[in-house]
Amino acid sequence: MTVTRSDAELMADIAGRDLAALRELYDRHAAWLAVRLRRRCNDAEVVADALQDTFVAVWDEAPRFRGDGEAAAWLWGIAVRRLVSRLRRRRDVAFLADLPSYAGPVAPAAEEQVLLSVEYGDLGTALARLSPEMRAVMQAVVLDGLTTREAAKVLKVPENTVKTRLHRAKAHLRTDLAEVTP
Amino acid sequence: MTTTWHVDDAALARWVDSTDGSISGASVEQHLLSCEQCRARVPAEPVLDAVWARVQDVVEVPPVSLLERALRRVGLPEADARIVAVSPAFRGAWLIGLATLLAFVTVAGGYGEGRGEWVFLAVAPLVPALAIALGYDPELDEALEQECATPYSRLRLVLLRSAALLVIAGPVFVATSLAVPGTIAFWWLAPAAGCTALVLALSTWVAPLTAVGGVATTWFVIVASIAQGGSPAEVVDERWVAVYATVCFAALVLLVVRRGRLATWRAT
Repeated sequence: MTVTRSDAELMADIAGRDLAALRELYDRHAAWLAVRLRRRCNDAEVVADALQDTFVAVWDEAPRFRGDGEAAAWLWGIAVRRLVSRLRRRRDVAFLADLPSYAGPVAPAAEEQVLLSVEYGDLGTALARLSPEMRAVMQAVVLDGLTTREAAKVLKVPENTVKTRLHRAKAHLRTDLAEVTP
Repeated sequence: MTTTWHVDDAALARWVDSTDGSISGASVEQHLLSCEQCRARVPAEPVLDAVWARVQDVVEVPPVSLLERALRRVGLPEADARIVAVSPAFRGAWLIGLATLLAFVTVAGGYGEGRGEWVFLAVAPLVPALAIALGYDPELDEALEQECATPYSRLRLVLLRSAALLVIAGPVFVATSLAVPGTIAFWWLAPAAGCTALVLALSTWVAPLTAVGGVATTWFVIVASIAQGGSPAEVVDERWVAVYATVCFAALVLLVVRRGRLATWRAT
């Protein structure tokens, strides 16, 4: 009988150079990481490269994983940076901060509303009201966890613009949220 | 905190296909970070197997050694750098050789004039030859088997490794010379060059370490016969240095002429 190792235990074993542990971590996380990366970049080759880089980095960085956090969040932090670094070499492929399929309705559909309120409460509704530019910055910095400098690189705007948009987006959200919950 | 809510199948499918909006997508993504069950429901794409194979290839390759990186930096092509760096001479054997050399220098220095210098002259010139033989003796080199299966000039391999050894060991030899008193200080390098070239040439007939044995025996006889009625300095006087230089040159010519025979190392 095999005992299922937790992500943190796998990470510790990977730090001890256990390839089977890396494989198990890969089986658990590669699928959703691949989808999330693909939503940021529609070039399959770049996504595959970034995913490869991610798990190669995990092999080396595993000792630095602190067991108290969520491994998935830690992995995404690595993955999005690997993607950014791959995109730096491929100027013809863009970082998609906002999905093209998103038409940007002022009020999201009812079921989206439900999804949003579950994870973000009123913040989700407020996010939907932002302009695409501000939302892109919010997604890159707040949701994907990039620094303003990294966001500026992938969004191809000056870093100051990112800071300004971020600042304005936060101000909008504050006003919006204040209206909803006085 | 336990999650009581899960992404429903339709929403997850839309997220996977990127047909939802980025806002609800953000919700799904936020949820996935903390929900193992929903993560496991994301279908694995066929490409993931190929990506894993690449991950495995990268992490299983032994890290490039410091030496190999240094060789590449000075402009050696990757294949050449690898072939030099995997040489067994750069592992323990080479270090033992150097330690031996240094030990004898210390002995020579301790005795000063006389017996110490004889010991030094008998042994030190053989150390570079031994080190170079260790650098390509197939008995010691598992990697060589593989390398020889590839079309790689053996002469090139031997010369590359020898050159790398000499470059790295050069400072050690100079330091040795500085530590030894008298005329033999730098001149011991003349018989050393002769012995080394001779070992390389003889390797086209016999295994490198066998060649070292033969050369060493000859060298001991020469040193002993001079020692019968002379001083250590005579081993490196003009006449003998001319002999060493001739032997060195002739041996190198032999090596180039017979380079095809380097393949017959395993004749032992």
